[in-house]
Amino acid sequence: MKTVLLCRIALAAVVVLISGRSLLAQNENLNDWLNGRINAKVQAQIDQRSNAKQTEGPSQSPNSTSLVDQTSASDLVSMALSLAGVSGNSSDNNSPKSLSVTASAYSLYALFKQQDPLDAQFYNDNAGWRRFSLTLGYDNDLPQSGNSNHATIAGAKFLIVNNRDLSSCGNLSMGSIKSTTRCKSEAKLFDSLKIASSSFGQIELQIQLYLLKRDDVAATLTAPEWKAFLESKRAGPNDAVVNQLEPDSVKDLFGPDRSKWTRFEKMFFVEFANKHFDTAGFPAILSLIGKDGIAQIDSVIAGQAQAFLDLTDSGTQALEELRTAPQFSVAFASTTRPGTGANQYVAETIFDYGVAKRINLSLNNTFTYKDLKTLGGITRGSRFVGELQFQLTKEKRLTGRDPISFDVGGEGEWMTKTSPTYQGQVKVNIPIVDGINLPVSITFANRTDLINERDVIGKFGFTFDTTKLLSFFTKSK
Amino acid sequence: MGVTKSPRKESVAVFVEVSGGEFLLYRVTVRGVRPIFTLVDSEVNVLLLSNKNTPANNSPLVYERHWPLPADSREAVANHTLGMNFQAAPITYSYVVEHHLANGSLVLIDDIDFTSSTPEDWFFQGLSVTTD
Repeated sequence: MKTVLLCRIALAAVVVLISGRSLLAQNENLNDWLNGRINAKVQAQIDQRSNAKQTEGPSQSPNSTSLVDQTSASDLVSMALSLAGVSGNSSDNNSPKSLSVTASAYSLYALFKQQDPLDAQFYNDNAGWRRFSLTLGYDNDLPQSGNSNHATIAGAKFLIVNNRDLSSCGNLSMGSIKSTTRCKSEAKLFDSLKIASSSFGQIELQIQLYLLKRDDVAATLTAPEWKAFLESKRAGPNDAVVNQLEPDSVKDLFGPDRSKWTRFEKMFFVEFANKHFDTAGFPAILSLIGKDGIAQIDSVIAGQAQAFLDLTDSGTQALEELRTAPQFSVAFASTTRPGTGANQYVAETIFDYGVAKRINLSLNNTFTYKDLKTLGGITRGSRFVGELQFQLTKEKRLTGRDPISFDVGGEGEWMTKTSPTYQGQVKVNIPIVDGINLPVSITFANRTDLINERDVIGKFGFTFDTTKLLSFFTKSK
Repeated sequence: MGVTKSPRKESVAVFVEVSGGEFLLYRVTVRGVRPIFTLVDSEVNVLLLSNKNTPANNSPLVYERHWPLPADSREAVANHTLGMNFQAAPITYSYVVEHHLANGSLVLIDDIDFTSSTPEDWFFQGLSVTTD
């Protein structure tokens, strides 16, 4: 009994699915149906996305979930919140917390100019302002650091080589360095689109004429409607023309040399096309021509398919070059503490490069100056960090929810008066909604700053990217 | 394909009495950054309008084109196709085609929004155009 019921439910589900599919087909006109048909013939295989815009707090913050800094910041404003840390060291009773806000100069400029930062013209004209960003934040010191105060973090970053900005092939008002390869790719994409547009127009017109004259369509629709059309024109000076055209069958009309079409043929064609190739009329045509007719249409599409394959290839190439292009920036950051708390100043060079599809390499090299505010308490040194970011999930959007990424990084720090510190980190970045991510990291260190023992710290937090949030809300309107 | 098409008015074909002074006006309005689009006459393979033209308005970005212009070659039956790329998604193209009659009045032929959040998307909107 139960089996019979399940079968009925399954059958009902299949019926609903099938009727749903046919309903979808019924809502398409010839133009949209052709777009879908052509699209089905080409395989879009672009699944990378920009992965070099840092929304996490600066890496020098002890509570940052990031070991490495990236070349560029969010286009507008981003916020990073480190909620808690879980340490293998039993002395870490208090959860460290930090908060940092990074704003691009572009967002401040848009605010100053009272302009919509996502306005196309304003965005393109002021790309240079997106090269510079400022960070402000605070850090609760790690308990083992011996500092009990909030540390104030301030920093600035300038993107010197910027090849991942969409408008970097346009006219930039500030320090433009054009990526010749990428601009060539964009020019190729434009040319491919032009050729594909032309091919689409030729296919559409060819199919319209094929359908108009196809035997079953002609017998059922074209011939009787042509007769009625001529009758409606039979008045006054048109009478002679109508008499001349009347004996012709549809097969003899609408010939391949369209320059020879009569005025009435042109007018009828427009009338017929608007009636039978629109959303209301096209499903009936499709039913009429059946599988044989659709196969004929597919062969017409196949004849011009190369134009659409080239368009897809050009689009893929342009996007991949956009997403893997090298970037280089310089940054300066300070961490200052009141009273006897240590101050730290860091100058940094940052390099990002897409080494392979969906794999980004970030390299940082810093010079660090630390003032412990005690006699002889000044130390200097260098830090080198490298991280590979692997994009785990296929995400087909530049904006919207980020893909899940898995990062592996390593760091070495060599300061005067202390032994070298080596750290390794693994991190998973989990997208929650558009513009909000949850980074979770585990860091392994041979020693922490003040305690000469091995340590493992787990950190997690949230990052907010207002560009994506704004895009999401604009899109939702 | 992630293109959302929202037509307020859509036509498949139009007959334009060019000899009587009629013409078409094409208008593409862009909301988003870095548009890439081409409007071509597929019969003569000629670019009528694209993102490389000087916009009629900058904010929002509006591109316009009268057809036919004196220099345009005109076929008796043609297809004018707008091809849109969404590399800088999310982006919305609003496509309007007006048929201006000899008496100065106009008939709206197309008024359609195309929106996508997927950068690899493309979409084509054709209009068959016959002239006297």
